[in-house]
Amino acid sequence: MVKKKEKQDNQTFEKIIPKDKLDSLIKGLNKDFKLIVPKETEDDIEFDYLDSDKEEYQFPEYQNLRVSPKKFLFPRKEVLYSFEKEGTNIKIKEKEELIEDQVIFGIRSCDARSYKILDTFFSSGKYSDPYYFSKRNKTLLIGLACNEPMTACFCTSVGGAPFSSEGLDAILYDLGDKYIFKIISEKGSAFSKYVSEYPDVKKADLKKKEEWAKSARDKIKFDINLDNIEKDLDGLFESDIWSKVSRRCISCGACSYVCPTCHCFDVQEQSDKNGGKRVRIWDNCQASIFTLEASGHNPRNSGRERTRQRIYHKFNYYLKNYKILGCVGCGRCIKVCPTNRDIRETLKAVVEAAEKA
Amino acid sequence: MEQIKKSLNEIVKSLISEKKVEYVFGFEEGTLPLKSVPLYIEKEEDIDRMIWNEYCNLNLVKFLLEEPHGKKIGIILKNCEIRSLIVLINENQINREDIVIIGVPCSYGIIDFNKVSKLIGGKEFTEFKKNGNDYTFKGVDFEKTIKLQDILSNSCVYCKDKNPVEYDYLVEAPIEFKTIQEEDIDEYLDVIEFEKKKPKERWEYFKKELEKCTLCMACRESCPLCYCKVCFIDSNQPQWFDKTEDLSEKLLFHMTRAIHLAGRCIMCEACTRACPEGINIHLLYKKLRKMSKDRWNADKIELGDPSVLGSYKIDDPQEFMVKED
Amino acid sequence: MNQKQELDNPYIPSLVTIEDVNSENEVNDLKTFKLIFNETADKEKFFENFKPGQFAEITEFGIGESPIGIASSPTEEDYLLFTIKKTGKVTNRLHDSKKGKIIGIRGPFGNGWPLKEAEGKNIVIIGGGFAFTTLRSFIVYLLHGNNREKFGDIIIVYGCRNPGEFCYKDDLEEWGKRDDINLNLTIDSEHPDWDKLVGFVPTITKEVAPSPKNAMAFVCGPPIMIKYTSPVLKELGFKDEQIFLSLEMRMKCGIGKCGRCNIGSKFVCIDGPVFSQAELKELLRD
Repeated sequence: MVKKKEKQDNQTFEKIIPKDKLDSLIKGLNKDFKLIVPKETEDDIEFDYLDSDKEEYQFPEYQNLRVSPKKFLFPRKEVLYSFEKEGTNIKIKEKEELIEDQVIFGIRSCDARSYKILDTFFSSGKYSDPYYFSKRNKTLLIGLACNEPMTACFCTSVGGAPFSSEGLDAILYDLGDKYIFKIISEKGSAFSKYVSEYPDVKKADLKKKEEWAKSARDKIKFDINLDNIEKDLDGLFESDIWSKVSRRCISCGACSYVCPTCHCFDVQEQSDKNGGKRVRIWDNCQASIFTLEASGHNPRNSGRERTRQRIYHKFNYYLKNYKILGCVGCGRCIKVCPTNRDIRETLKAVVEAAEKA
Repeated sequence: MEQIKKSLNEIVKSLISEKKVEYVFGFEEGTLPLKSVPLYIEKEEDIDRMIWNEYCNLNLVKFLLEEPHGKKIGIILKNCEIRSLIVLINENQINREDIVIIGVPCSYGIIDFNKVSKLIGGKEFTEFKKNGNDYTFKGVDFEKTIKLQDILSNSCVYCKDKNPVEYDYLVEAPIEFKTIQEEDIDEYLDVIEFEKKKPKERWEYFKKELEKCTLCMACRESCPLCYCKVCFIDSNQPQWFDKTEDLSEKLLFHMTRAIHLAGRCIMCEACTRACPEGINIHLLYKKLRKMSKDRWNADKIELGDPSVLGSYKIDDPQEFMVKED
Repeated sequence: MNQKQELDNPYIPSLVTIEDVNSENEVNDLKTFKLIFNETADKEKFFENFKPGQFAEITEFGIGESPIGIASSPTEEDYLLFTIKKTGKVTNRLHDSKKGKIIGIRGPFGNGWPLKEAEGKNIVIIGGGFAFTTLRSFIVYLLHGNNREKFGDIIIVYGCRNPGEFCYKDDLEEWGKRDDINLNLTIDSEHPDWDKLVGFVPTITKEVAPSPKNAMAFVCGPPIMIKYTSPVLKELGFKDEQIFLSLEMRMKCGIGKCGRCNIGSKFVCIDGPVFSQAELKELLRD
């Protein structure tokens, strides 16, 4: 796994970047790294690759993006291998990926934490996932601390914070009229040369940063104590709250497709008469076909079990298996849900039910 | 609106207090601005939470399919949704006598949240204000006023079919109902305009929209008329569909779904509003509805009507056949 | 960096050739495939970790992959056996396959039967229908060479709907001749060609009445059989810790990544497929 070590205070590398210099910093980075940045589209802002030699780019204003950058390390569709038929013989061709060092620039703290979760999961057990890590090991994250959390944000309830640098290699703090650029990890020290010309951070700047951090934190209105969530859920598996929660769920998979930590996939085969390939594609546990067996038996046959699975996976099984929560509180599932099923309400119901029990 | 609310409250209250139904199905305020949540009104005190407005975006008829036959349920519906219920009754999926329909005349229609998001550049609004048909959206770094007609669901912009055709209770709503358009326009004007485009342009449009699809099935799952026990795309034996999210697969899914809904889709557009990617392919469905109208005058389905594509009449147009002189 | 990455890519199948195909039952929806590795290196790698009770992912190139329990024992060194029921698109295509065809295999996956813990114990094996596959692997292993003396009594109860449904008829005949195994074969109801036991597996288990003393029970069969056999074992005095079950779930990757085969916090593909009854009671089961 990618090891990151907080630098000691006396070695802290923090620079002040004037607002109007950010785009040239990005340009500088793009000379040496493949860059993934937030880009304005016709009617949205999305993470996308940048080629600053060929396109004009201006770093946009945004709170967080509708879609997380999960797909850059765990694509929606990924070829596992291809094969050719030669008469009766089969020739397997392993996927050869040439991955350049890449930087995801402007990622929010919640999304950076989601990669930590994916790192833990994909490296867990006997088998590590080669496709994920082939990209992950070449990826650096430069975060942008969150001054303006959104209405559905609840990172502070799941162990995160708008100004958290967890999982990042470097972070930008927006002080309104300028940025602080701080190197977080050893890998992140590779960025020092791009910002060395800028002035060092001053005490007053750090004070201002703390003020911003506090104001951001205060903007998150939802607050729940999930310290006992694993135990709470242990006792609620058969509770009727799952029927109540699932009653409003239409069993689409929108929540898992926007979730930065959902990582379940399906494996499919694409072929013609000369050969084919095996691919994996994102899948979601809210679909009844997810667990439908060839015999016709389905252990999670109704919305009740499927809704329950999603909550237990993130808030119970993850704690049992990896001692971490499987949710970063980005709130995307809340916003995308056609029936406005709000995971915060579900968690509240769980905690309340556990108190009563 | 106030009057609708008052009348609705009275009807729902009487149904609940006199135990005429097990519950009434309506909406309550969501947890985010301009969002609503389905509400099961089982007790009188639940009525206080009930809302009825331009962002009650789901077609609640979908949820009736989950309920066992013989259970008496009240449901608050607009006319398009009533027509979807009629289709289900005609197709023997739901018993008319199980359902108490509370019909509400529809004013301008339902807001498509995706349209709002797009018009404010994917940003988030934290509040909105209404001033007549002007909606002002406010976020942390912007404020934007948008005309209702620009954020209404596509089909609502042209819809004139606003008064309930089937109901047990009718909400009194002395509003003059018309489309949001100023002049009297053809209900299918958008289809007619689109038909004038070159095939390549039309294809480019659909291609661009379908490329966004993640196959999350929110459209299928929000549609009351998609009720197959095993959808063709989930079928494993035989497997028609490889789920790989290639354009060909997405096209296969959406085209087949459209064909399955031909002559049945009532253009409530719950699917468009449910789409997390804001995909807008309603013209595909509306074109098929227009064909039902042009060929069989069967775009407005009523109780007891034969299935449009499942029935045959001797005088059905047969323009696809070779004519005898 | 990730050190486990140095290992081979677990998603890539090895190539094997179908050496032989045998129909196992009268209705012909069960066939046993004998597979030979195309590359010795692949075979060695496979057998390094292979133990009875594990499964492998079988690939029909161009069709897909299916998880199948391994019916042969690691002691049968030259080949692998898989008994496959015709149920889905992959198994349908496999059933149409002839000798000489090349298919793919990934594995072995899962924990397998707890062999070490079973040493020195009396072994009770209860199986029903075609789910006997990994139990066969286990029995062959128990009887191989010097292995037999490491274990106590071996009691087997194997039931099928009718005589034509029994798998591994040659093995059964051979085992029946041995005096160091107590083999009980049963069918659901009377049949003219049958002179052995008649009755459902739970009933026969009760009649055979294996002692729980220093014993371990290994159960594999359809859910209904397991449901009614568990109380019988309990009645006979078996504790939950002494009963081991092999489970099935829909699987894709086989290596704990695709996310669908969990029972509570455990994945059947890597933490199972064999669980003790005691472990299962601790898990949150849908």
